[in-house]
Amino acid sequence: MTEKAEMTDLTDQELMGLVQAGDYSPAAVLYDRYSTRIYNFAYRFLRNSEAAEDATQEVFVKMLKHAHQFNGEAKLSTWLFSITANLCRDHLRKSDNKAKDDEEALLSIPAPAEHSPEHLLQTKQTEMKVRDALQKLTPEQREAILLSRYQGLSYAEIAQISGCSEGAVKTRVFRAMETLKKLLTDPIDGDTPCLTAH
Amino acid sequence: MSDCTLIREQMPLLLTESLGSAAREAAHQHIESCASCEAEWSRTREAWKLLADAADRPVPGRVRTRFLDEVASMGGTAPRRSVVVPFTRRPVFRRFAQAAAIAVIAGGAYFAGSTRGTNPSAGNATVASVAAAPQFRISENALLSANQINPEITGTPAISNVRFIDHAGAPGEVGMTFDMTQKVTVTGKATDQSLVNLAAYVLGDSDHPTTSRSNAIQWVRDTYSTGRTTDPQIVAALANVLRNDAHEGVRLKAVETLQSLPPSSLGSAAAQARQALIEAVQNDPNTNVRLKAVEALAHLAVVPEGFDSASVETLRKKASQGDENPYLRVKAAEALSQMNL
Repeated sequence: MTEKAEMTDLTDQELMGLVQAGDYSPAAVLYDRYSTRIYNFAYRFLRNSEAAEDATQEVFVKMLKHAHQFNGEAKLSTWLFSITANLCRDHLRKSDNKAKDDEEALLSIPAPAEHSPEHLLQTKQTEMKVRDALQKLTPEQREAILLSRYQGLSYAEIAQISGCSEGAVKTRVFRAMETLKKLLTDPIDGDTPCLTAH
Repeated sequence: MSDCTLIREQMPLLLTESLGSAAREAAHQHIESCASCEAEWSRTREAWKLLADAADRPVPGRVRTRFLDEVASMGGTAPRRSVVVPFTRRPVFRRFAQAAAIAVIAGGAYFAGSTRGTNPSAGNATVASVAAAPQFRISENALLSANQINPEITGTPAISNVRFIDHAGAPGEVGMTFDMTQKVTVTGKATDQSLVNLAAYVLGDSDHPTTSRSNAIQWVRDTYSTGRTTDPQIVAALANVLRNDAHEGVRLKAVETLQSLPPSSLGSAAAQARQALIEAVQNDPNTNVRLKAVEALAHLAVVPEGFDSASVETLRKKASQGDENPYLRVKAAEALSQMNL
């Protein structure tokens, strides 16, 4: 069995134990384990593929550099999302609290070849609609909904990541869902301009 | 607050199954009986479903490449650099290096002060065989005249701590001092005292990078977990790591290694290992280390007459310690129950 294969059998705690001992050999395994979740969280938060790439890289570098801060009491994923959320918030602050559109990158996602053009177009439109809707949320609401819906984290874990109470998380998710319902299920309040002539 | 308002506020909790069973049932009953809330619930679920339809994007491969390149530059052990030859030596320098290599092993395997703070693995690959060398010094302070070394530098030698000093040599001479370690390979049997001494030394010297200690612990594990009698000096070194090492990852590895050693292989050193584990169970600040120490202590508690009483008592206290991590207490209780006392 190769060293990499042996590494993949180890738990997050065991891998982080090695990192804490100054051994960075688990870096690739940990990256492969969590990079997709981290990258997509950052991308949906920032709507900017370049910033999401930078954030993803920085999260894992911080994971190695500050490994001693990981005490094993929380899940590694929770800790990584804490780092990611902090980086994303910082990024938004530095860019005037506005996520930057990255439509071209979105449209360049390769689609499965077996789907019909109509289906692919519909999928793309849905993705665009969802991403537009997510950008209408406040950063706090977006963070809460991304962690809840896409990462399946509990409200307690989200509270830990966002540095607020569980009650605040519930409120944020509720308000986010109110906004998303209007934008995603109500065509009148959606972004699509009304072209009906009067 | 009306029922409808309350139920609508609970809808996100229903989606994430975060409501208790009674509240969940009550909410569903209300939704079934209220057309307005049923419509709202339908919209909530539809929005929730649409969110999931925005598929994950693949992470561009360049992110992984950039990250691993950065890891390589951070000096961890993952990407190992190729070996380089630091200097093209003239014969005088080579003799000096050989002499430097020959004195330390017999002297108890100590590292001279000039190697502190350097990374032995980053140097070049001068390989020395101990078998032919009655004396072996890994490094020493060397004073070389500039004309003793070839001015041409090849490769990228690991030179650190460079300082320019006043040198009381001939008028007009200056001194440049630096640390430059060589990669030394000591070959022999695992039971050779020189290797045992070296491993124990590396384990016990917290000035070494944690990677060195971690690698040394792994070597101990690989070497002795097969049942070979463990040298008491090694057990003592592991016990010291467990008591004194500042890095919880290293302590954790020491515990796991003690646990991997068959009790019968420890001989007279078993008591020392148990004592270190007892102290770790009682005092280690890291929960993971304490948890592993509980398991290791249960493993090593077996003595010819049954179970070591101090170990059993420690596990009992841990199992009933109210302010301890509940999972850890359960582990201690499980260990005790498996002993069938």
